[in-house]
Amino acid sequence: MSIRVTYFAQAARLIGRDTEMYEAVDLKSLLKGVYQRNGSNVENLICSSDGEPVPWILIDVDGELVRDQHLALSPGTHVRFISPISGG
Amino acid sequence: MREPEPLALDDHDRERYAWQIDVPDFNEVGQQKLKGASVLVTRCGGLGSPVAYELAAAGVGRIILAHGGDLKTSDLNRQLLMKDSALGSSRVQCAAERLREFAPRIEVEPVASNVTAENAVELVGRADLVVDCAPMFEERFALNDACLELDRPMVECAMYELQATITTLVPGQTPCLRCLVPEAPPAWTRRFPVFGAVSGTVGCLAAMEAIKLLGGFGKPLLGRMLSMNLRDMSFTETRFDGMPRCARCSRFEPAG
Repeated sequence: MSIRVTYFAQAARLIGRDTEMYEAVDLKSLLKGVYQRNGSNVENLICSSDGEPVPWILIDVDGELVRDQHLALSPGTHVRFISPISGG
Repeated sequence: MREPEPLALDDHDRERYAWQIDVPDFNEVGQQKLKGASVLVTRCGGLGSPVAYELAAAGVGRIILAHGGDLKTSDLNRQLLMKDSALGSSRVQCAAERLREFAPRIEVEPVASNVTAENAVELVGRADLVVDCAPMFEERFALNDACLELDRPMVECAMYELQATITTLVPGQTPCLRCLVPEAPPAWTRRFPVFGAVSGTVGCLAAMEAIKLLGGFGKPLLGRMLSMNLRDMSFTETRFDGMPRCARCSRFEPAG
């Protein structure tokens, strides 16, 4: 398992854990894997079944915010899904 | 970005703020800038309370607090400018009274309503800088748009359970809130789990960001978002200065 995925805030609560490991060559295939493993409850917070991220999810790849689903991922990459939060 | 007009210090100021005037790259020049500065703090709840308290402690000359509604029992785990005896009365008036007791020489302006698309420009226009402590994305987007229109920096802070995020958005220098979050997340709700110590932590960080920007020293979180998980005390930085700009703030993108 080579891609480390961590979940932040509501995403972590939704998944039920902070960290998972995946095999994926790019961001889109990783997102598909997240959906396959965690089911349709990620649709509102992370991505659709075909690996399309929801517009509001912040995706951090090795410390950089990315939008490109075709971004290649190499072994050892750390991907963080940061669901936006607010004040109060 | 509008620079605050520095105001001369008197002997009382020099004594009251002596410990921070001793910070070499802040010194009396920075203190004069704080004294001449106006800051809008939207909501004075779990986040806004420590933000406003620390800004008052630092000697920011004018603090505008915008918050509608009355104090409820469930606010008291985190809203440090409130008091038990004020239950059922105006939150923003209670916060203003507490700040005036603590720092009677600063100006505190309570506004008994939340920020909306209708009043955002007028409220932001009164301030040199905004600290966004609002719970709903519609309110945050209204502040974002007003800051873009008026060229004001906005410190963005947020929290959930034991986690929090903070960044500083400056028109022309960083992407804006809509670049980061183009639409309000439908799963976000007005009520969410959080400890007061979490809002206190990120509120103090937000106040420090405001003090650095106003005082003209240090390195603010421009193009960087700090996320923290107080369950394991991990602090992580995400860079976002290179991301594409949204339609609203692309006019600030440097040519060429």
